[in-house]
Amino acid sequence: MTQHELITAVRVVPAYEVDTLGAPFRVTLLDSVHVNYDPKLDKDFVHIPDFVGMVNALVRSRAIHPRKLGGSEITFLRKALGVRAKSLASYLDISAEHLSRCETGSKVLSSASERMLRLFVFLATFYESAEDLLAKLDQPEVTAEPTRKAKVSELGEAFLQYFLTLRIQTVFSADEPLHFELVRRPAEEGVSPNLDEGDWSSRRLAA
Amino acid sequence: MGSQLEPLNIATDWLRGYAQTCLPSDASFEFSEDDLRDKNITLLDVRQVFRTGTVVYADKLEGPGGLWIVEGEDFDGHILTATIVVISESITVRLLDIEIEEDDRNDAA
Repeated sequence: MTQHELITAVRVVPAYEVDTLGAPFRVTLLDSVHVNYDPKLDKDFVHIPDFVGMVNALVRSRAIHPRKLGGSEITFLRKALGVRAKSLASYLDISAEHLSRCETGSKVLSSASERMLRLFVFLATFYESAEDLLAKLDQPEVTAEPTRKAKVSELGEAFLQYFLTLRIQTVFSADEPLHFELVRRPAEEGVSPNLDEGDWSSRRLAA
Repeated sequence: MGSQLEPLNIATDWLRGYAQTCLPSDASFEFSEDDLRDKNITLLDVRQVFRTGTVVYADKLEGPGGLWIVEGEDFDGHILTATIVVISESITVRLLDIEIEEDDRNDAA
């Protein structure tokens, strides 16, 4: 094998559509995803930096989008945070059976419950464990630590900006699928260029 | 072939930590999208296996090149087996292969 053959080809994808996430809407990652070709395995490997951060940014984007949550979207948000249906139902003060029916689409989540759900999923993206956060809401003695990226001021601004004024859209065209585009913001000044200390965020919301 | 129980527990803790939001943002994850599509397994399923699964084999626990086999359940209780390799010092994990148990595949179908 020549030296050339040992080198894997790496390319940055300008707009990578993630269709393996299981999301019930379109998700495009801009100028952030690398694809490495491995000649030994004859496969392309997709490289998503800070995968968990990307999922959290997507959850936040959907939580603040006014379109009413569909059943598959509720399931996606719950799975993205790694929360059991029973825990979430308890927090929303509904039965696990009702939540299950909402997720399958045979029932609709009330506006009040949907607001609670949106608030929770948004907040949970700033915590290490959404399950621990749910437990803490029930039992104050349970420890739930925010991640290093959690800033109270950011949370406060987000709640003011999005949730206190949120009007859930219940009428929309099914022909217009939701599409979220995420970009990776560069590292703050002073951070070593060798470290990827950036952060995922929504560039715009299209519906 | 496999490592002793204690190192495997260490590895599992590390992997669970990797799957949590507290991981360093330079930690990353590589996968073959064709493999996932073919097996109808989502990235969230893979993450759930990392979060809750157990490392059942590890040929190396430190440094790049370690090959691990992780078994765990997805959100619907299906058992998945993921083969991963740690390919760099900056904690880049590559998903080499993932399988769902045949019985589970039939149940899900």
